[in-house]
Amino acid sequence: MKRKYSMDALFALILYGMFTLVSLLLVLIGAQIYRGIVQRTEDRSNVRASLSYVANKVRSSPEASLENREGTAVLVLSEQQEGQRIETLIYCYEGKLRELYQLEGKAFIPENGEELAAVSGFSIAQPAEDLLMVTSKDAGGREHTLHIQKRAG
Amino acid sequence: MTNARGRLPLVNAFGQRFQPFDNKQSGNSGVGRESKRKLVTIMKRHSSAVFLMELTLVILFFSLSAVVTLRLFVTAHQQEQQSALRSDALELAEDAAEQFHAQGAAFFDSADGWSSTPLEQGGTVYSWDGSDLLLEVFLQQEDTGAGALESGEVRITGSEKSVSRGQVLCSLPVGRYIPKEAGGI
Repeated sequence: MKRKYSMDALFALILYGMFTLVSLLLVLIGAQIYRGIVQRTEDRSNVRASLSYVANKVRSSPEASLENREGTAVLVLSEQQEGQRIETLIYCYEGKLRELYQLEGKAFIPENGEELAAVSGFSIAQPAEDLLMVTSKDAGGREHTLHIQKRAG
Repeated sequence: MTNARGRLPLVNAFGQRFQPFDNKQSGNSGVGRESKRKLVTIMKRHSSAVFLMELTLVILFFSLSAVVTLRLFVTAHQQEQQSALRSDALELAEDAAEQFHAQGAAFFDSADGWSSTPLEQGGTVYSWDGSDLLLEVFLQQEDTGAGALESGEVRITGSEKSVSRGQVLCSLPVGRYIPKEAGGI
């Protein structure tokens, strides 16, 4: 009789333990899925924002060129303002897309740039005379490429 | 309803009445102890059954909730995948439109995986098959007095392997004007 009672109690205990374990697993799975979704959405948003920003800047700028300054590929957007030549430098430094707005001819200091977005890799190339190719890499290592045509004239 | 001692009679879960034991009244104390032991046994047995029944109901309710929750997780994951696909489609459409505007028909090079098919109503459709997306560019050329106008649409459709198979994810109108002096006609 005592053995039967022990079996009943043991069975109830096992059942309760399985219930606890399954509920814990459910919470962990849910948290993992949610974390993954948020992370991927944020990463994609960063990449899209960086490409769109650069594209809009190039399209709105009368002059755009690609230069190498201090060993860094820099997109130089020049314009005339109040008799002065102003240049906007867009580049990637220490995992961040940055923008530096300064007078033309000033020394290029990468640390002074304003951070725009966090990107794993960012590069700019010029495959054709009036065409720029901007490549941004997301956290998963996948590359996103956008071609931008320079403004005519 | 009370007994001789002024107490309410005891009944079990099945409505069976049993007499309260009293070692002093009973002529044989061993019989009273046996009754007490039986009573405790019966109560323990029934409480275990009730507990198990409650636990089973709780687990059943939890299972139903877990199924609903897991379904929500799967739906959220699928929606995230569709959102990622739409974002990629927009990116691809924008890139194709920009390259077509810069290079014209030279962009649709068969060496890069493009295929062309003439349309019945005139014009051409250029297709490029990616892993999850199918890119199609519908173009028609209109000759004007001073040049040629190439207009059409860039359309991105989910491929057979993607979660949005056959669904139009993005549509972008494109146009390019080639003046006569540049050798457009």
